[in-house]
Amino acid sequence: MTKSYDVELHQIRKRFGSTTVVDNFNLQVERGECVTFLGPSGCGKTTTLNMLAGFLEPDEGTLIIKGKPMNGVPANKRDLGMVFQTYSLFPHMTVAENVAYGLKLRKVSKSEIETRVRKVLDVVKLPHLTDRYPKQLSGGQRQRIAIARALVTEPSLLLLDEPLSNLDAKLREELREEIKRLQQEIGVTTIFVTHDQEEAMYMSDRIVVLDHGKVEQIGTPEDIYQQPATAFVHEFVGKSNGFQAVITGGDEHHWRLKTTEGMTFSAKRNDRLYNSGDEVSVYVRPEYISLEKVGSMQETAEEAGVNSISGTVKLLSFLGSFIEVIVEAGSHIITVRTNYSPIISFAEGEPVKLSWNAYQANIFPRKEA
Amino acid sequence: MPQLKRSKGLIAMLLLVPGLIIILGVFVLPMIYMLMISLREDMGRGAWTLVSYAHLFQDSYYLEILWRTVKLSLYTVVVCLLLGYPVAMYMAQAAPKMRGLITFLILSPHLISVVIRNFGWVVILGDDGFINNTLMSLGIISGPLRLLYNELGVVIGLTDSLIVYMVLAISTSLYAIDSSLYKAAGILGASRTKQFFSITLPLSLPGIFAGTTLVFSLAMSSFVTPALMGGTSVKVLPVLAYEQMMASLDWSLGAAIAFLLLGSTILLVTIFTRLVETKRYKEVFSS
Ligand SMILES: Nc1ncnc2c1ncn2[C@@H]1O[C@H](COP(=O)(O)OP(=O)(O)O)[C@@H](O)[C@H]1O
Ligand SMILES: [Mg+2]
Repeated sequence: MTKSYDVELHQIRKRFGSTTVVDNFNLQVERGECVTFLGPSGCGKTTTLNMLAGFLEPDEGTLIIKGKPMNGVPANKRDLGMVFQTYSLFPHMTVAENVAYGLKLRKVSKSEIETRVRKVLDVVKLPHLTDRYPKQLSGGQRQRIAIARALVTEPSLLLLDEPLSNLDAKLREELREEIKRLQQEIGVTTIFVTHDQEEAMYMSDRIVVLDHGKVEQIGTPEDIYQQPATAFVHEFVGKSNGFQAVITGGDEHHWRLKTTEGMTFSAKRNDRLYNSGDEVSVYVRPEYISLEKVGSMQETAEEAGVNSISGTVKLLSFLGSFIEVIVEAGSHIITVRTNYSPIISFAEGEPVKLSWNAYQANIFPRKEA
Repeated sequence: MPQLKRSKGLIAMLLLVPGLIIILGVFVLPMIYMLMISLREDMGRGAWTLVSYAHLFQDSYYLEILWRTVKLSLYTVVVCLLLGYPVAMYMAQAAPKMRGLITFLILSPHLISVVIRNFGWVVILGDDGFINNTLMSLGIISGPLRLLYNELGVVIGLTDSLIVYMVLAISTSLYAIDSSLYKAAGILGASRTKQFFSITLPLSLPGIFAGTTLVFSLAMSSFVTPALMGGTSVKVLPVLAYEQMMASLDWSLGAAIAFLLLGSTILLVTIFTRLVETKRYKEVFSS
């Protein structure tokens, strides 16, 4: 049996003038799934969402929602729900009227509208605000009402375009938790757009990482973080230490390489093949690097598959559950994150040894400059 | 610090003085003088009397002209609204350059004196004018249409002079509408037409009301256009006041007519404002 998808994008392409803003976008979203489009500002997230919504037509490719081709179908005939960064509540309508807007257009009876509005306002936990106007609400309340308005028509697909970006940090966390809970309870297929990687990780079943209109990787948050498909994904999602290096050799498990600053490393082998002399980028996450005092008892002996270098502590930052240490090793500046421990403390200027497993170093062909 | 604040306030007051003097000198004082003329005998110096006002309200002739003035002003408002709204809509969604160009185009007739503009209309609308000649040579009509020296002519002339106020007032309020509201309405299922009636129109009410008030007040007090485009048969209050003062030399009656015009304009605008500024309107649009 073939799987049925709620949303299918086949080779979607969009140009504005001579610039291609969305290039060869392919995606299938399952029923009830929450998929996030993640990428820096200007990478084409909103453009793609607008094509899904029907505000823009793709130049090429097919767009299918619930098995029906949507090319050429106007937004008002697509039966979707959408939440915008700027809330976009109708300022001349009360909360109840805003929420009822879509139901009225669907010619739902008055008594049913009343019931459904009351129910959805309960769901977003704002049942007492029915007669207020949007400008009398806080940002968080407005966005909850906007979510209620989008959900009340029971849309086949919910689109959210950076819904939390205008809220302050605390509220953002609160509301994303709530959106996730709602999404899972209702089971509505959802596409969520954000430039915030933590938000994307938190919200999604799968993340689509975009850069310059191109899909860099589609995968679960864990995949994206642990197995980045490209150098861009490694740099964009999470913190990374990047090195420019040249392949010098390798065995069946590892590549040997030498950084431009002259240090030698090994990195795990993946599907891609390299030849000696190939220029590559190597990335290591700060939390996979272990930090030891030079000459301490625990100092580990050199072993195969472990990279280690020595350096000097430059800067220490206490960040609650972990500390971030900036270490200068030769001409490399390396960021290390280590659990905070009151027993082992480092001082700025102290010599240290850094080490990490070769399998925790990811290697990519050098990006074109 | 408080001293500094007080001196700042003082400077602000001083800066207002020249403007206040001009308003007082050319507007308030002449108005008071006119009021005296209408209420006292002997060019505002003699005994108090209401005889000019009594005259206005006893003779239905004056009230008929008042009614005609109001009626023509209302027609003008409606025509300006119907013709101006689409222009304003076009302007509000046009690129900045285009918006500038349209603003210039609708303002440019005002670079020419209203007298000359009205003579232009005579050339276009007259019995032997452009429109009648074209229609007759095409055989659509056999004799000239009466487009001038009647109420139609006055409304055409007033619309020409005043539509710019309507367009600018409405486009300003249309421009302030967040365009994402249309996306929100569209995705909820509203067609273009439904979007217009549920979003565009209600949110442009402040512009419509401002434009209506402006056009109505200016139409009520228009003198040159009704005089030139209406001829002798379509008399309005400002023309009548002028005639009383300049031709009949009855300054007291002329001044009383001027105050009748002022009073009825203020009254009608106030009633209009009361009617449109409902509780809901105030809640939505007051800042
Ligand atoms: N209507 C448009 N005309 C021309 N260029 C546009 C238009 N809309 C977006 N763009 C360009 O397309 C790119 C992608 O925009 P967008 O999809 O809004 O990015 P994102 O939402 O990821 O920040 C940007 O470079 C933007 O400048
Ligand atoms: Mg965007």
